[in-house]
Amino acid sequence: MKDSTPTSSKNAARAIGIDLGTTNSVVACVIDGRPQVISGDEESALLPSIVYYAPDGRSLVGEQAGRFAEHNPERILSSVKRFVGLSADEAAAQPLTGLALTAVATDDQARIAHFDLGDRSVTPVEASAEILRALAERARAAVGTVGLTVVTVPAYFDDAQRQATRDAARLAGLPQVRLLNEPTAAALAYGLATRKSGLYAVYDWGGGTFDFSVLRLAAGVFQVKCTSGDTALGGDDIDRVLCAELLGALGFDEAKVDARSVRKLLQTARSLKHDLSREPAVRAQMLRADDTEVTLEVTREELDQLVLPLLLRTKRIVRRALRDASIELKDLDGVILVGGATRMPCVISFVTELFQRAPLCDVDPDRVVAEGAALQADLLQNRGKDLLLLDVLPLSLGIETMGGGFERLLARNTPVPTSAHTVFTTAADNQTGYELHVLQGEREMAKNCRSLAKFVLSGIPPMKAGKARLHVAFCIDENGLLTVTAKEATTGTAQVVEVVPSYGLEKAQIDKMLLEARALRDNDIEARKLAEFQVHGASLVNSVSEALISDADLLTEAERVEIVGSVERLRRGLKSEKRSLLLELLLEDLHALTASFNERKVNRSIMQAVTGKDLRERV
Amino acid sequence: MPDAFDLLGIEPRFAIDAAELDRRHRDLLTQLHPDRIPVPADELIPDNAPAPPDNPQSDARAVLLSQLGELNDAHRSLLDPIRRAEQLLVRRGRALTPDGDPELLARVFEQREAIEDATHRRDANSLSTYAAAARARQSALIEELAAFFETEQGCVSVPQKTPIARVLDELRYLKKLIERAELTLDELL
Repeated sequence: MKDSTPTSSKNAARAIGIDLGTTNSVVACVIDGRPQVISGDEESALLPSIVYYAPDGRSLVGEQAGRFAEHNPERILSSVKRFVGLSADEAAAQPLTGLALTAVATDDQARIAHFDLGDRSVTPVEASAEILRALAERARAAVGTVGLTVVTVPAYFDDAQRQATRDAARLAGLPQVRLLNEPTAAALAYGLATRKSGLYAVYDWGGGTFDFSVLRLAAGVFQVKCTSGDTALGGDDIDRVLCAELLGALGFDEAKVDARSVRKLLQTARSLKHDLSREPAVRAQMLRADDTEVTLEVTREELDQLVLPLLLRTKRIVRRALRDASIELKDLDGVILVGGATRMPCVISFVTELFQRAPLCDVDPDRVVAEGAALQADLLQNRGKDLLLLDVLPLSLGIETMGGGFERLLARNTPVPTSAHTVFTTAADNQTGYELHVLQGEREMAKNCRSLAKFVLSGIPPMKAGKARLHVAFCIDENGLLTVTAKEATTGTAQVVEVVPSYGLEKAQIDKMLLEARALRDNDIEARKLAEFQVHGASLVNSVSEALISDADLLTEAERVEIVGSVERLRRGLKSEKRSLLLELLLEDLHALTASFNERKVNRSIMQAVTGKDLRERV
Repeated sequence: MPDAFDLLGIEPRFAIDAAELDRRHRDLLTQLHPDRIPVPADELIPDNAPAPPDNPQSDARAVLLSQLGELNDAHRSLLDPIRRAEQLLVRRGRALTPDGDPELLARVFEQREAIEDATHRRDANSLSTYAAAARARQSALIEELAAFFETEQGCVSVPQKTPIARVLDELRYLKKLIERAELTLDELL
């Protein structure tokens, strides 16, 4: 489905860049040559990567979704990026997530993690699609039609995690998607903003992942020299180690504690962590395992001690990447900090010591990735000839050999797109099929690498054993995504390659999800709910407004101001809000605020009624 | 078939300028990159269409990716002194069979044992020392290679101290030993 109208209709659509983060997500686009982060209405630029699923199938993303946490914590998904591209077993092995997982029943289910929402289960791909959809919606509201979309991924994401992210974008209905590595995006934004050139390192520690890349920035070409990382090492892990400390201090058993308490303590840990970036010590009130209250104090030194092992892990990754590319510290012209975790004082001082120089702090670590993504989207859509990004394959790719070895076909840090070819032959007479097990990793044995997929070739023309020449091509495209093609060379027969992914969704499953999502959208639940809340809301605004006049004496000035504000917010929501769940929240707010006011009103009317009745009886 | 020197347009010498090699590689990648030559990868997916079939690859794209693959392999092979030397020898019509010197094998075996041992003891200091010694030896051998190719300019056979096949053998062993030590050092340091 090639776009046959390259000029007019395409120019109308705006290219956007999305930083799909573990904790927060950001969308940006280029306006007048400069990247601009797009904020939601009355919301901040960062959209918390939190999804709420209502029992009727409606969903809500962001800050407001978090508001359901108190009453319906089990219907909220957060940090889903940590589960993207993982199998059910790998997901279950993640410590202290506060998320419930669905037990595995079939092989199909085992290939992908499922979150348990009670009445249904949701995959990380679907939850990510919700976040992408919300961001695209935000962009549409600000700039109109959305065109090419660049979605960033951790540089160290393997093929399964990249495929899953692309599936999510597809599910979100994004028209044309390109994946870009997060540190590369950051370097692009930094390089274009500062017009600097030279050899720059990007130390990117986000909510869920750590990436380290070195890039050569030069006029016309930004080239990644090497990259390394850990896709399970993020700011989240700091919350988790602190949470584990707190669990111990409060007398909980980490193995037995329930998901709800973990969620609550993770939240406490996160806010303690944030506060400790500003204060040397922080106190917080918490509940012990026996439900008694206690106030605990955490100092910055204590937190630093907990973070140190994680910092040392990043140091190993840095060391390996530099060695791979034969780069010495003195060759670097600067170190760029990216990701929320790099705001912590202990991270900044660790990086300063590690690189023997102060890191560059002239970018906003939360926004720079989305800005870079927007710049790349703009360059691609408008076929900008003045700058090209050359990225690399983060992990070596190869096949399992006889005896369980791992044969490397493409080495890590090879520029992408690229390809490798290899030739196989048949072992038996008239053999018509061949199976290849493709893996990614750096270890010598296949069992220690990550399985990507089994590729089953079929339709080999019958011939004597050892006669067939199977030319197999492994191609990595610009997204870093793998495809495999095969041809029998002596007869020139192209082989049918059936892909059996080790992780993630099959195409048929995605098609089904797309249909379901569309059915849900076409189904009028949302429209009905919206109409329902509009009617309710209008009558609530009226009744409260009247009561504010007739029973004004029942309220303190502070209460009155609060209620007036809430009425005003609901009134505005009724005019413009298209998301029924948000309207529902505004309604609930006003209900909650007026609860005691209503009680007082009822009491007064009862009193009046009683008094009235008494009067009648006397007559 | 063009070899790596031809592909990258680099003068076939052992002493190459790594910066020049990188520059040539980058220039060629830039010229061939699909973002420069629009070759469709993922076609437009309209909102109402099912996911497209896998491998929506045109022949032009397959050719391009295979050229990029060759270019990357050529670049990597020239950065590696062993593969660079091998290709120079092939150019000069000299096929080499591995030397298989038993004395060398015994020495390598000993070093490998020492590294395995230090790995088990998780002894970062010893590993660093072994790795440094192996690297020093590696540099010396690479210089020997360079000298060999300098004196052998013009395909005249010159007697040398060590047979060149043996130098290459030892370099291959050393490369493996260093990789092994570094893998453990990554975990320990």
